Amino acid sequence: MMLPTYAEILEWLPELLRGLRLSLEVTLLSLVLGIPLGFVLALGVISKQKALSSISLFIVEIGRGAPALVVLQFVYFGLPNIGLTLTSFLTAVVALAFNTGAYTSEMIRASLQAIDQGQREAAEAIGLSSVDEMRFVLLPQSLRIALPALLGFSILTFQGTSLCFTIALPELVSKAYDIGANTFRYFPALICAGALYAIISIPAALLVSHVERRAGVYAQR
Amino acid sequence: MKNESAKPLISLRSLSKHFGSLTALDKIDLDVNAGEVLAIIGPSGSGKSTLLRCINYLEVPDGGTITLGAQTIDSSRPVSRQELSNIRSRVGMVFQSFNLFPHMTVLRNVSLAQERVLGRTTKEADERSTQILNRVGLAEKASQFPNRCSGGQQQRIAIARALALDPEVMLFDEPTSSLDPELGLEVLAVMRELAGSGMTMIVVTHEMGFAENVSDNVMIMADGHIIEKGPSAEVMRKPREERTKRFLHAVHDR
Amino acid sequence: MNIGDFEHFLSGIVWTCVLTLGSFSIGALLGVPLLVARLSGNFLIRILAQVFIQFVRAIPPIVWLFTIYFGIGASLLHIPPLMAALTGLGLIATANLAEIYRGALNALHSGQWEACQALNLSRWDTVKDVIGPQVLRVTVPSAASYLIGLLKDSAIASTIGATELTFQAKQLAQLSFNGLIVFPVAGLCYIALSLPIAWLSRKTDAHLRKRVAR
Repeated sequence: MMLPTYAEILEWLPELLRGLRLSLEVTLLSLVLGIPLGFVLALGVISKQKALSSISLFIVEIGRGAPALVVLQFVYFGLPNIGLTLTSFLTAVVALAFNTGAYTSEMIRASLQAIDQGQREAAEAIGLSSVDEMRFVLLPQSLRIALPALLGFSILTFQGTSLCFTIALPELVSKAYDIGANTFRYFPALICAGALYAIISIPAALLVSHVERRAGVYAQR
Repeated sequence: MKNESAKPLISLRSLSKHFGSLTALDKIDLDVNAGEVLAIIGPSGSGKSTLLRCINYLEVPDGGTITLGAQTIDSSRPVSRQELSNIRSRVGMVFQSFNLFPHMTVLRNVSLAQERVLGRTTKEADERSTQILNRVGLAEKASQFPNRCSGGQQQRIAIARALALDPEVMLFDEPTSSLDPELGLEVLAVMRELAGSGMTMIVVTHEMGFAENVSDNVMIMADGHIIEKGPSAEVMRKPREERTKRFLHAVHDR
Repeated sequence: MNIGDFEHFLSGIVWTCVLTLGSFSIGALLGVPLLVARLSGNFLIRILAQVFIQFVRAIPPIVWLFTIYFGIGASLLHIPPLMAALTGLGLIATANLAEIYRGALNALHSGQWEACQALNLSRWDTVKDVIGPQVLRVTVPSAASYLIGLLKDSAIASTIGATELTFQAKQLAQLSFNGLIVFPVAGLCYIALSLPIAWLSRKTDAHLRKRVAR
């Protein structure tokens, strides 16, 4: 039988949910660390100082150009060579946060540049400092503009945690694989894992569409 | 009328600005007295807006000096953050496209700079904001967002935002050009009240009625030069320069 | 690293390209009928297509590859890793490209359709001469972007034993314990491979812009 039986689902669910929970934890941490990193990188790329802008751009291009899987493997299998050995969990968070930072920096940069120049002029004219200008005027608006893209990317990060199977993280895919290896019921186990991913991702995607439509309303003057 | 024997509040000497090969301002000299309302009119590209924006350093002049009361800024030296902050706290600006902060309520728009720049507490700032919003007739809009206000209302809020910082001078960069004529009237009414209360104002505008009836002096600019400057009644009715006559004819023939 | 390693790397790059271009081609082709189904007047077909696309995109690529390789491969028939990878990535590409096509169609001004109707152009001519070229122009940047994404996703095939670049890198790193160098080199290879795609995309876009002004 290709599909899991009710008995099997009940039996497997606790372990699978444990894996799902770990996936969600990694996702959350990666976003919490990665998005501020993306903001810093965005500012770096926009900066007028050539050195800062070049270094930031370099980091962003590496982060966006190298497959997440390769970054994961590098941190887990490569860094120990120089004495830096991280647990699977830390590796997952570091690698995915770096990935998140690189991608979201482009989203935030584009959103900062999408803000009307007049906003900066008004902020300057009333004497706000650069820090205050960023904090009160530019950043809030840029996050609103970038929100749909950031949410969409969060869903991708969640799906990206599945790659952490390769660094021995006991997340959802790894749990499903273990069940398959033990019972030879790979297909049904993986279908359960897939279903759990879908249960989270599909409503999240619908939420993003909803936010996109409402963001369109905000964008009107 | 206004006190003309005292030292001018604003003095521009030899102010120049180039954009590439284009000369936007050609060694402009200008004095504006305290309490004076100066209207600057002229064809597009004459440098009117550039002149205004140099005064609060939104544009950096390529040459010349700007004196505001006791403070002089020499464009040949890089300007310090402190000097910049001083100028901008004494000069208020109102933009053609309002530039209100869309993600804050009207009240917050007016209060923000008071808190962050003048150091007032939120309570103090909000009280002052309500006062000023009352003055421009929009107190009831305080808790709404700018996008729920008409263009004319947004511009009046922008005026309130600039006034909240108690500036010595108010600069207006074509304040009604983005507005339907009807909505423009309410903004002009606020500006008229402001002028009557003794505020020093420099207004770049196409509103000939305002230039003639509300402002004390009118200045015509073209090609980066001051063509003519004088009391509004004279310049508007009996211009001396040929260029002025041509411009005014073109305006009236519309 | 020696010459032998270099050869392995090179063979990995070749298979990466095969996987990427292969699955992209599958997606580009099969995406069209899927798009037609997605826009079909028939309610059932439309819903099925929508659900299909949603599910394929909601589930991570590695799960699809595992399902095909271990799931089907273990019980029904043995599928070689590269085949399984091609099938899985091709499936995902189909769903994504169908959505890209749909986005491009939506971006088209509705006035275009109306103008063609007013001129009494046949449906075929409308698509061939008016809608098609414009959709193509709008699709190129998104499709190129997706192709680069697919290039990176092809690395996932290494998890089921497909001998592409990441697989070779992993082998090399495990044998010689210099993952510190091997993985960055692999990463740089991916970046290098994406450059011609980005360049070609810009060139094509510029060329199409001249022929198909917005």
